[in-house]
Amino acid sequence: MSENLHPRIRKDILLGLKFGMFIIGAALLLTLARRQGWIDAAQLVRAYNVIFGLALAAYCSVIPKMYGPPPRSLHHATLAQASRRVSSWAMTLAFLVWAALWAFAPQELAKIASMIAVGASIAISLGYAVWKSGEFRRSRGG
Amino acid sequence: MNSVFKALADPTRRKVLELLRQRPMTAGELSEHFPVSRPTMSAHFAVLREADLIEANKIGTSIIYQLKLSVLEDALLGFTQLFGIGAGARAAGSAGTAQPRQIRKGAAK
Repeated sequence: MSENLHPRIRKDILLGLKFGMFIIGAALLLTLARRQGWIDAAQLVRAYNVIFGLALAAYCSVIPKMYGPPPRSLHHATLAQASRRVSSWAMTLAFLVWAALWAFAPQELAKIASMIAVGASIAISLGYAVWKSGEFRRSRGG
Repeated sequence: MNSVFKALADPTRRKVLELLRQRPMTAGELSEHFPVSRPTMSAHFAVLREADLIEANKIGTSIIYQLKLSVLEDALLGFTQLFGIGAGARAAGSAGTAQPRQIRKGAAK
């Protein structure tokens, strides 16, 4: 990492790396448990997905605190704040749903429904950002 | 986390966060909603900044405040509002339910 990197960017990168290392560490421990015969293959998949979902929910919950470029105007700040809040809530809830599905739902249902939940949250985040940007452009044009 | 609870314990600061939920505002715009002096408001902003709940950015000659609430902090704020935590303090004459002062021209600068 460059010495000139903004301290907040560095903090965000380190946070992401810590979450990544946690997920990889958990996967390795679960693999070890499987090799030792403490858990079966289905339990391994479920436990990994629950940990993955909870870790990503925690990571997505701090999206509004992450570094963003300084706003150029009040409108720009409003747009950035609203988009970050909506995407943070949508992604956090989606990954909590992911974790809950993998913990309690039948595996076949969990596979499909967890993907749908995360896909919907991405669609909501992008859709909201596009809608707000359009509204912002229209207000500037009109 | 302690600084977050300290920041959310005060009705004026919660009201500031509530206002910032609508949109980012300048220090002057926020101050208009409270019948307290500017230095008092500045102290509240400092507590919120220290707790990493808001962020100040300079645009031109104005300082604008933006929300920086994580989902957990946002939910905590929602719960305190929903269950009326600190309502007693507000009823006792705190700034939380105070009527906004007249908006003065140029106060946002």
